[in-house]
Amino acid sequence: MNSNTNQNSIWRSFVRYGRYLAQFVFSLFLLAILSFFLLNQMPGDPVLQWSGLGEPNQTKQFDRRYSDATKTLHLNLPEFYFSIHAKCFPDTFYKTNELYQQDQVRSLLWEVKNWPALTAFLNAEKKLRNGLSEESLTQISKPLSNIKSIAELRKFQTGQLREFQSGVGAREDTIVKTFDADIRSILNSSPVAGWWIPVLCWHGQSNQFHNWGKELLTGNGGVSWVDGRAVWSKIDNAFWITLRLSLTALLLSFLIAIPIALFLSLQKRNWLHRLILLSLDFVFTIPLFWLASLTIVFVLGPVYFNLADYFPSFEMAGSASWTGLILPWICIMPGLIAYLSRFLFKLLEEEIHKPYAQQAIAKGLSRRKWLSRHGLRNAAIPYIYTLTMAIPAAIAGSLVLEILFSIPGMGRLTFMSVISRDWPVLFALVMLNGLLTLTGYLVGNIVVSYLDPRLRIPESTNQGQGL
Amino acid sequence: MIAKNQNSDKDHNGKKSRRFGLWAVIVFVSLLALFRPLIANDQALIVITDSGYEFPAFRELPSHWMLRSEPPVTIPIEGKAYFPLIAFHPQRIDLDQRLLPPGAQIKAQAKSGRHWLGTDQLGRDVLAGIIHGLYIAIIIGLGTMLLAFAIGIPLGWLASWTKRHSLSIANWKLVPFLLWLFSILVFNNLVLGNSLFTAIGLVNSLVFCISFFLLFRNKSGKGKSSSIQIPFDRLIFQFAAIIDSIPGLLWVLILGALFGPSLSGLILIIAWVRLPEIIRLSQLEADRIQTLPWSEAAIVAGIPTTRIWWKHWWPAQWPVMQTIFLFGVISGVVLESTLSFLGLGLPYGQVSWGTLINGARTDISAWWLVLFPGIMLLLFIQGLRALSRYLAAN
Amino acid sequence: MRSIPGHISPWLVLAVFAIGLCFASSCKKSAEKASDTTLNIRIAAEPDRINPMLSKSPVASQIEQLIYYKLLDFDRVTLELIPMLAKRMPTVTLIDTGIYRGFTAYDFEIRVEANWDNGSPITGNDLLFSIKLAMHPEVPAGSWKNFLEYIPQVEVDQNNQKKLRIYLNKSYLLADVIAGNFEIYPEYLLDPKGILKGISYQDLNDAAKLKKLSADSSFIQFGQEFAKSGTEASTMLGSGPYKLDNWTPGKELILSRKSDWWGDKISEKEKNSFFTANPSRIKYVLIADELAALTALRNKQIDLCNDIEAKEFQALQTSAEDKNTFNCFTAKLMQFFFVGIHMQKPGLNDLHVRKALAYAMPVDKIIQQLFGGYAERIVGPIHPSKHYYNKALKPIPFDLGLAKKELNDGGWADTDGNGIADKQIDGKKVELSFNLLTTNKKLGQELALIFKQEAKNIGIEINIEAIEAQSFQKRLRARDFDLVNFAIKQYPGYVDLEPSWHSKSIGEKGNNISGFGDASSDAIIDSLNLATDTKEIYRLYREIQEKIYADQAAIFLCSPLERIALNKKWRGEGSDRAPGYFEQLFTER
Repeated sequence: MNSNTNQNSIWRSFVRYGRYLAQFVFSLFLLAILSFFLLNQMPGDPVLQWSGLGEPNQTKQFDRRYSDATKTLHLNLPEFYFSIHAKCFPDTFYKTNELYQQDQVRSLLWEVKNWPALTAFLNAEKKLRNGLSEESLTQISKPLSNIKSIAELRKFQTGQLREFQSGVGAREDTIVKTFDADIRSILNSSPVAGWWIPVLCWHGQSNQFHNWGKELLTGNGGVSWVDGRAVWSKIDNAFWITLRLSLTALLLSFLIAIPIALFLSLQKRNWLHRLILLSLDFVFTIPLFWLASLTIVFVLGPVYFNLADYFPSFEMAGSASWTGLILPWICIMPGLIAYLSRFLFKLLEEEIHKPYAQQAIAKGLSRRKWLSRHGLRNAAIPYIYTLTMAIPAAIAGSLVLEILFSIPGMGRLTFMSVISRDWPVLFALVMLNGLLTLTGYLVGNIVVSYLDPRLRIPESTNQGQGL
Repeated sequence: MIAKNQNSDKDHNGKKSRRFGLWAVIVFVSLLALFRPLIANDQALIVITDSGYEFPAFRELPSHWMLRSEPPVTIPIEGKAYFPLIAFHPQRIDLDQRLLPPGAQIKAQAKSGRHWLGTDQLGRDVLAGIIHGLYIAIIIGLGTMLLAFAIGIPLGWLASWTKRHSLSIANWKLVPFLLWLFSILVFNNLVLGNSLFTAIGLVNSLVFCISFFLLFRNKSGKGKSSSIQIPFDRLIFQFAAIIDSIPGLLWVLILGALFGPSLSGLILIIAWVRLPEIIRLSQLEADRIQTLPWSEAAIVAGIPTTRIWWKHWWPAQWPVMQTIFLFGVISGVVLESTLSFLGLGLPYGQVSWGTLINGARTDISAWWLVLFPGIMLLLFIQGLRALSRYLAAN
Repeated sequence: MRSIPGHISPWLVLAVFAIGLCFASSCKKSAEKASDTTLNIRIAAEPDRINPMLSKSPVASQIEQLIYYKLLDFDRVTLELIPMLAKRMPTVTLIDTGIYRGFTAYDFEIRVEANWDNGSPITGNDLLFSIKLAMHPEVPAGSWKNFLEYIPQVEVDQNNQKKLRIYLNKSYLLADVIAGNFEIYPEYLLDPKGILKGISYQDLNDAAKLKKLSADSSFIQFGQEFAKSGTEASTMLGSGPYKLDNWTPGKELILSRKSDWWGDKISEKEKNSFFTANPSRIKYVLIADELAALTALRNKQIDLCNDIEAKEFQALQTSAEDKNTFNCFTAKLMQFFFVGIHMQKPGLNDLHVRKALAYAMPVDKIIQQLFGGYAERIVGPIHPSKHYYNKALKPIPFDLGLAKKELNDGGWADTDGNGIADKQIDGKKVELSFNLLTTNKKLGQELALIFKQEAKNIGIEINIEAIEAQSFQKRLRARDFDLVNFAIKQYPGYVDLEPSWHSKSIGEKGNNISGFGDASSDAIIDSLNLATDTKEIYRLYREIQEKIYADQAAIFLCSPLERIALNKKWRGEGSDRAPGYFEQLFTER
């Protein structure tokens, strides 16, 4: 081989792996956008949650404190690098109102379709609130802040406002009258010309998505809504516990599954063979949560074996000890073993029925020798591929176990952050899990294509299996 | 010769009886699920009074089918009454009978009956609950897979098709629909906020769509060979990869927190999680079919694409797809019961296998709440696997 | 041709992993036996942080009350407000001249003995520093900020810095509780550079001045640092008898008794229950799972376990072995459940319907079955452990017959045969079909299901909406419900009924979710908040309870009892203050 072709092949493999890498980065970026979008859609007000200010409008200084907290959390920035909005919306809509009022203003604006008119009305409302005494304000404040459509506003004007007006003094009467005129002017306002035209607006780098991504990559991943702790520091501990639980279970299962598969492959096809296959099939289908519940009720529970002393919980056993993980392993491993051994057996069977194997065996190579020399090696490639795919899946699968056996790993953290609505933690976990999954695919693809050139992604179609 | 003949005859007979047995089981299970109010109910099947006959249990059937069955008000019975086999309503709460072990005789009640499989922490009969759970499981399994198939298979086909052929102008019947969908998403989510399907949104997207197509027509009108170059294969592939990059359970947690617990919401979420798998498999199958000679021939013969898809691809894929369907039903039901078990799936009032097992989380000595619904779940899984094996063998 | 690299054998990799695994698992387990002088307490959840200004979880406040002392606090047994850091209860003066006219002044004097750990005295400046810290815009101390709206000024006596005066801008039933309610942080430790020194409390209240201050990066950074604090053991030191020694996240928190705590020096005469601190070490062990907690209790890994399930609690009391080892007691938690009724909704504005609903709620059965008997029936919005709880009011029995009679009296009947009672009001048919809002917690949903089934028997349809907590709050705020499952926590001492039962709180500035209140009930609450005479206060409280009871503004259910087991190695008793015991008072046998 001369150096030219060698260089060429290096270049080609660089291109090939570079393509995998580019796809990986692109998918990660898409995942980040998706996670961020979902994060923003989750119910709840991050500002209220973080600041502990309680219900809106309970205290006089609420608005000021609320906007202070909004600034501290950088939620007064646009959501993304750009936005598309209808022409009747202002470019800076994201910061014109407090978060908890934005829905109301938005729905009103969709009816009025005239931002200057609406701003005038909102200012008039503020003036009214400032002008009225506290007693009279309590009468009108609630219906006023509940107005979400023009029809409701009209109803308010003819109903509650009239009623209210009749009961107030002379000074307040004039204020209400001006407000009444303001309502009339907004009811008579006409939409801005071409209000429906979509407008693209570029916001630049200072946006929420950029900040969030930067925090995830370089900082502490944001702050938990629940305890204000840095997100990555919370995940750090949990991650290693989960890794210990699931990775060891996975490797142990591999160690047990391989001999089973080899045994099955060498064993005569008799009743025992069928029995083992059938029972593996059966074990594989047992739902994990049920197996774990059964274990808890019958092994740990007070009614039957009552072995809680021998299998201490993870917390009591101490995080350095392995005894707390025995029962979770017992629950998770049967399914894994069954799956892995059946899969390897199937691969070996496929391999042995290939012509080259049949030929070798026909020529007198024993099954055992064929297995150790060719079969295993050829089956190893897709098998390794499964391993890389199985790691993120095993981590996700440990969720049920961690909840049931109260192991403070990633799964339980995920569950707890859903229960306590701790979205920053949840979506950092989502990103981490996505990263692991995508890395699994990437490594799997590269390893497989390195080991076996036949399985490479055909360059013309740019299609991989998985990603 | 003769022996062989006999053999095949026997084989044939065996097959026939096996098929019969299979159908019998399917029909039995469906009847059990569909007519639960006639099998497990605390309302009488027939009440014979002086004035005539009454059928209180039958009255519950429509609401049961609509998944809105609630225990009716118990009215004292005059006359002779015949009760269903299991004289308990699965959702009837009876605090005096809570957490009874299997076989317990109910105490202060006129009609005799035993809680053969015990009761849960609200005093609901477990056996009746298991039968009710069967119906829920069937609805969830079928619902999720039908939905995932309806969306996933066409997407997989589209991806497979566009990998080999660029979408020629003759096929643009499908494209407007997709673009329209796309523009609805763009306009409604970015422009209109969260108000989906408002009149403004629809008009806006239509305008967008039509202008888009007018642009296209001008270009493609010149030559026959020109075509729309939208890389659907890569788009769809990326779409599936994105769904896949978040594990199923996490998706359900996120979307469940977003939408709150409900049966229809759960079906939507599980279908969403299943989608990438269906897309990928149907695409793989379509890839395989496209390499077959008759597929090429059909294209050369000028048969319209949609016709090829429905008349040729679908029947050719069906054997593989039916296995996938059954396996999807299994994993949907398992996912549902896992979630309900964790308290994140069905609302607590809806009795299902998962919610029944959930009861043992607080009352750890109530082993019957874990064992029996779990066995039923396992039987359901094994039954469907046997069915898929049988179908694959034929 | 390229050979497949056989030497990178995957099996070899696996084997290496396996060997490593064997090594790792052979590591000796470090089982810690509970040392004898340590009081080991189980906690079910980890505290969010140890910083009373910022923490939100109940476990955190349990631990914080041993580390941070306030001016005044409630005695854990008698539930009376007694001096803690303050020498005596404050003297109250009504100011009638000067700029603070109309305000009430509370004069405190901090105990002479009170010292920080470095020996410097605890002074009024430290309190001033603490509230300035809370007002810092970067510090998310929402509840402090809300309280501080009542406090326009705090003055420290320049001659004797132990003396301070707190002004309150309204005269109020709970004023002394508010004035003495702030934990005191050490200024010398948290602000050695004196960043807050030059800034007055008023400046932090003034939006314009605050804006100017925010330009100073050291000021902002100071707040940000504090906002993050409370997760590490070393930085959090208070004036209480204990300090946080060690915090292993996900496992345990260890508090140790300060050896030279100032509280030991004060004279016997002055001492109250806050100056007894017996256990030399307190370890809070995190055990989320209840079964594991009970196992640990029986294995003597923990000495105290709370929140035991009713059935297990009974088992602990009956089995002979357990009876000898454990002391089981219950404690009233100042928490209760009720079903709130939106009294302005059609149908529910009828007293007959509300009464019928109350008759249809099987409260006693719920207490017996769902709470295992460990709950106390209540009749009004006041916890039964309070002296002014109205014992004269009879609990409403579960009686469907009476419920039907109430509906009949109100003219409600099922005219169209759909099983739901209806009535013609102003020419429109109103059906008794309501939605019941509940969070998706298990207990709430169980209560809702039971209520739904019973209400159906009297012809009232209830549709359960179980929604997650954030949306629940939002719906509550918008008053978008008919019935709602609700839980309330109360503090010892007096309770301000204005936010939830005064008619001026029906609007958005309050929590009056039922919409209860007329002129006479408002008058009672108003005079209650200004009353000073104990007898008068009690009378007014009983009167308002009667009114709420008569109007059936809510269906009051019960208040749960906390179930606690303590190893007999320790002597101690329950307390009606959360978490149901006061670990400081426990003594070793």
